[in-house]
Amino acid sequence: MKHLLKQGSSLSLLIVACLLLSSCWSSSPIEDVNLEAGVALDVAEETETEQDLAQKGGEYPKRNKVSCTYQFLIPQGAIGSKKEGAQSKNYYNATQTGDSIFEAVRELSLRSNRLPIGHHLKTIVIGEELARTTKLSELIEFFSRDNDIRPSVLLFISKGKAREVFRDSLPGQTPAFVLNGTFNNRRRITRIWEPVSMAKVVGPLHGHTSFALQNVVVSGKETKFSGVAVIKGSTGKLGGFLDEAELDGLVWLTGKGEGGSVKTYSSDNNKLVTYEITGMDSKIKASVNGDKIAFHVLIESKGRIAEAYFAGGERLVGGTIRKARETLEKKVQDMVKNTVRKMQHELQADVAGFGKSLQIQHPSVWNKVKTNWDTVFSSVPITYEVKLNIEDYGASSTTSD
Amino acid sequence: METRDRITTTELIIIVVNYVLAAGVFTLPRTTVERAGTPDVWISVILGGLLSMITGLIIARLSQRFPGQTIYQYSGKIIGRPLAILLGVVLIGYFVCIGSYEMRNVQEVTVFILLEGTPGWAIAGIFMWVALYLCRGGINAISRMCRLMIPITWTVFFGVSLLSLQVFDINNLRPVLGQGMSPVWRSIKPTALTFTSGEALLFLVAFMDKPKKTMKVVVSATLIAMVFYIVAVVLCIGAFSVDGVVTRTWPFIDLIRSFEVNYLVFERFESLWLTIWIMQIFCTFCIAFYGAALGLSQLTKIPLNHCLFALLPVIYIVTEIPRSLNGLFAFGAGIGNWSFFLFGVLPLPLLIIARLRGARS
Amino acid sequence: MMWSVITGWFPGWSVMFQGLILLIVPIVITLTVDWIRTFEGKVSKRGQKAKAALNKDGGATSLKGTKGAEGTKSNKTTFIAGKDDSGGSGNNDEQENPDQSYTGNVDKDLRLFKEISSDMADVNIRELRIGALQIKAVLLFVDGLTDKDSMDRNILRPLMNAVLPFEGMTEAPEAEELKRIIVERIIHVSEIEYTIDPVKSLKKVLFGSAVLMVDGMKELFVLGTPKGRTRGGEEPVSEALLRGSRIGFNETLSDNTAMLRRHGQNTELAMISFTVGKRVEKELVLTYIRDIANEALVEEIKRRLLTIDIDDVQESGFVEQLIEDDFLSPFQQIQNTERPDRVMAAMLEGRAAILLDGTPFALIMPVTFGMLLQSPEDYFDRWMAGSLLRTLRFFAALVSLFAPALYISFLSFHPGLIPTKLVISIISSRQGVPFPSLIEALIMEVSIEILREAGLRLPKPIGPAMGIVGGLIIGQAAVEAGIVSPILVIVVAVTAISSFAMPMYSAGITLRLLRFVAMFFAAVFGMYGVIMFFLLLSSHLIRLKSFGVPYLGLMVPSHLRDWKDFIIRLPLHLLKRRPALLKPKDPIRKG
Repeated sequence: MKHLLKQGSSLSLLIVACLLLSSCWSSSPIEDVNLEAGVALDVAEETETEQDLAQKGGEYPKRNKVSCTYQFLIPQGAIGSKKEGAQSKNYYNATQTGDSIFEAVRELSLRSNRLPIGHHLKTIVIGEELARTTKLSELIEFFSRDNDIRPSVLLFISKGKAREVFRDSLPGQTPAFVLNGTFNNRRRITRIWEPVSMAKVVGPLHGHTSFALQNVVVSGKETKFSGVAVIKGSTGKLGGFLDEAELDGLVWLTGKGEGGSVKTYSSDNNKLVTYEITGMDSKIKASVNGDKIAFHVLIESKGRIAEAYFAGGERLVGGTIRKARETLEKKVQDMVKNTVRKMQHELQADVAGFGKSLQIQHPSVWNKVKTNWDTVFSSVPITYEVKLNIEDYGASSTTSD
Repeated sequence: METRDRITTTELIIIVVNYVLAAGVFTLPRTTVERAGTPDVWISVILGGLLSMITGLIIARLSQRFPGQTIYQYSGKIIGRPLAILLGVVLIGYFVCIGSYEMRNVQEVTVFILLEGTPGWAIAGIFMWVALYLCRGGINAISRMCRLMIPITWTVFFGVSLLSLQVFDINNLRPVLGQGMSPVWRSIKPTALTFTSGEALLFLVAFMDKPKKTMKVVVSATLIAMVFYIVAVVLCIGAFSVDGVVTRTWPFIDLIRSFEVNYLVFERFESLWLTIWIMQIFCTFCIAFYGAALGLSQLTKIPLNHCLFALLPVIYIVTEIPRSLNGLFAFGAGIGNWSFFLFGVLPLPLLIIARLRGARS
Repeated sequence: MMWSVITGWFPGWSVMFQGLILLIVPIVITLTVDWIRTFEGKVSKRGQKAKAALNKDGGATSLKGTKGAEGTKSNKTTFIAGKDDSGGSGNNDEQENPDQSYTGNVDKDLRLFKEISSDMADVNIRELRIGALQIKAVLLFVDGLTDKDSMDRNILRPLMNAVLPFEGMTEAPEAEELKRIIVERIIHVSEIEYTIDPVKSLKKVLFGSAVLMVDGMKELFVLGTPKGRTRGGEEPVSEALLRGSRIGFNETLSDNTAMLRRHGQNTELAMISFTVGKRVEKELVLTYIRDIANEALVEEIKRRLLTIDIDDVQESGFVEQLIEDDFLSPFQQIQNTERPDRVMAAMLEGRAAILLDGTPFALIMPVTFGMLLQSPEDYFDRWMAGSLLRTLRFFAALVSLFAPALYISFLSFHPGLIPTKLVISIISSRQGVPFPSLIEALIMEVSIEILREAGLRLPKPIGPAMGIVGGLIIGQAAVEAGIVSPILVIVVAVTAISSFAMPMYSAGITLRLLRFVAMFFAAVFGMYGVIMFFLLLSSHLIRLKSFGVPYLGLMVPSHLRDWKDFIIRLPLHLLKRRPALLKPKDPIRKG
């Protein structure tokens, strides 16, 4: 033991000397970091603070192209004893306008004593205007290259200004986290697109295929998911939006929903029937005949009746339920058709995976058309088949009286 | 209660698996997909594994002729003393380069993900000192270390792989053989280079207690390693798609970075996985280090411990030769080509000559 | 051309310099360690001493290499297997001193004895006359060490009343005849030795025997009546068990060996007696099971025991330190225990044990890493419970070793590894803490270690109070004062509790020591440092041997079957084999 101490003490002496000399190269005290929670990217528009600072000489040579708004977390006294900050916000936003996103975040270091770190960055929101004019791959370039920021960051497009999304929230909430958490509701509603992380867009961006990103709109303190934004593969820029109803169709088309509802009115008496989805699946079958490509979409779903006004007080058996099913199937088909029409004719972008199906089922054909797939896609005939299976009807076994 | 410097068949399998599994996992998905351009590279991984298995079997045959002797000792009987010395020097150089390559990978990845700002020499220093300490314990210590690491690294590797299934999309792996076999053939080369295990056998068989079973070692070790590389390749392509994988410098690390797990002790796993995988690389490094030192010691008759010390700065300096990441990858490719010649081409004539001359120990 | 390519590869002088440093540091460390070892070797000269000891004691002294002296039947070691060893019967043929020996004349002999015991007031001399013939005799004993009651009853009274044995004799018989009569017909003492060496007789007297000097006899009777103050076998304090025998070793060697014998009937339990200590001699017993323990192991232990060269072996800890393999290792290579059942279990696995007179701590060797985390209860409870407890202990050991280091590395190096919600609360709780996490952790760890040490020394009633004051109040106050963060208090507390879960107290100390080293590694390199420390530790353990048995043998067995009794303990009937690692003579447990 004694000898060991001797050895140990000399070793620890060495280590302590190392510590003093090097001051632990990479270590940074955790209480002195500024956690980035979200980033909003907009077309250049300097904030009042920035303009004020610029007037006083706080400027650097740059071309104003992008405004980056970083949302930083302010750790509240999470300890029970400190209650005084109940009303204060959990976050603050800082905007820096410039051309290089990296330079902008470093410029922010002039405005805070704390070291910004990106490990906990969860959300990147891109404003509509910026997304329409700049390639997405350029916008996320820095984030996909950085070592702190992870490819699991989720991407959003905001109709309007992205920084507005981060501006305000209900007390106790952080806008960047609210956006991420909203995806947990996918089991409840089909008007939420799947969460798309940076890892999932590098492939399509590099391969020039189109894809969809969740769109988010804001009013006052509340944000709302509202349809998706379509990034066109050919340009790599924002091509347009699918609204909530069209997103509904897109989710049906891809079978990516986890749950939600379908509502329709009965054709004969114009009464409501609502269907709760408990499972859905879709198969896209590509068929090639010479140069002609055609798709057949088979959508299958199971679920239950959530609301039924359409037949006064009848038991939900036999004909009644068949009627409900047929009405609902037609509704789903209409939604899907509507979405596809918009994709084919207005957006000319395939975000539902038709191309992938073709690639898997007919690789050689795909190789011929893949360079201008979105154009080819806009004139491809598509047929649909929807099969719903109403498994149960909850606690009430009749329709409403 | 004597210490035996003998290793059993199972132990040798474990050593060879540990030797094969190293920094290749970081980059293999990218290097293969870059060449193939299709998601079928997992087939190349299998084929590459089989190919390196064949070369491994030739080396095993060769080593079996000289039980208890390393290549440094028996090559003289096959090709004569002067050529044997040349071969020995080349082999030592090769093992030094392997060690340096792994070391440099650890440096790069550690600085990138774990310790931004820590100087490379500090990272390399502590790593190599520990390796030196272990290697001084001889082949048995290395063998034990490999056995100790296996439960840890394998659990973490497959655990993290399971978790990464949440970003996995099987469609990214389809269509299978959409463009035929030609892309598969193209990407065999980088896989075969990741896998070469034969070189370790050149000196490890000498320690085996039953050299007859070397064939079994080659086959099992290659198959086990193949599983790891297939998992790595398949998961990366499944998550990023072929187009995405080629944009990632370290695809497997980015794979782990691209998911978060809520409601577990950790949300993110890259640091955890990386540190664990560094232990795996540590084993590879030790084996290569030991191989080089053993060669030096047998060629020059200097005690092994002194050789270990002498090689330490050499490995470090070679580690620092690549000036950039591209330099490192080029270095890796260079080593690969070198090993292709040394262990893919050379053993066969050696074996034939040995047969003709009837050389045996 | 060639030259420019090579210079293009040249990585720069700074790299060369770093390479040099990289080379020099390990060389310096190695040389230092080597120097320490050779220095120790010079001072103690273990190897040579062993040889010399064997030579001096005569017998076959062939040393095979450095390992294992071959079956040396030295006359210091008496093989008394199968026979109860009830106290100092070991050394009955000590070398005689020709200059000074007893003559057979009581007056002369008594004078001689008084001379050598001149400064010892506690040596009592009781003169008497034996029986009818009134033979002069002297009884020598030490007050307090001898059982006076039994001496009066069994020695004095029969001697003085001895009429019948001398019936028909008119004068004292021949020495041989007298001896026979006294031993066979008069004295009621089971344990009798004879000596003509005054020094030896004094030794015996001083150790508690009564020595009888009879006129006309050169030889003295050494009558075993020592009554050392012994303690009953109480429940061992350092290794309390809920289930299992409540008896622990005590300070008397004969009691302890008896406890092992009493464990069950076995004719193969060997007990070899040694005398250790040069100035203060003590008896030491090496015990093992003859048909299980590997011979090479036993020989190696014997060899090492003979190298012990020290004034006084105060406790078995001395023996442990003097015969262990690597004194520069923080890990104990010999296990100490107070429990006879533990010793028996170890011997049945093929290990050997050493008992020393005067201490309740027996030593078990060789040690493997798994033993430090095992408790006899693992076997007493059903296998699932045993396995669970072992797993818990294993986990506790990891926590106790790495928790503060991980705390430091997460907080200072890898905030990205902590879940977002947790990192937010950690940051808010650390607001205003003025120290870096290393200093913070050191403050708390050091104070809790001091607290623990203090609690150990305090009288029993105060101990817990002290714990409460220290643990609760200081912790709470430190958090309130903003010196440390509450998270750290949790970490330190969990660490401390985990280290209490170690069944071996001394293993716990090792972990406590290494924990600080781990913290420094973490403070420099974060997780990378922790992993490097783990690798260093593993390398050390891998290279470490305990009596030639790899320390980590069970962790990385050559045969997977050794894992049946490592972290998971399988049902007893599946544990058919003894650990193969120990190379027992009989590898199968009788079934």
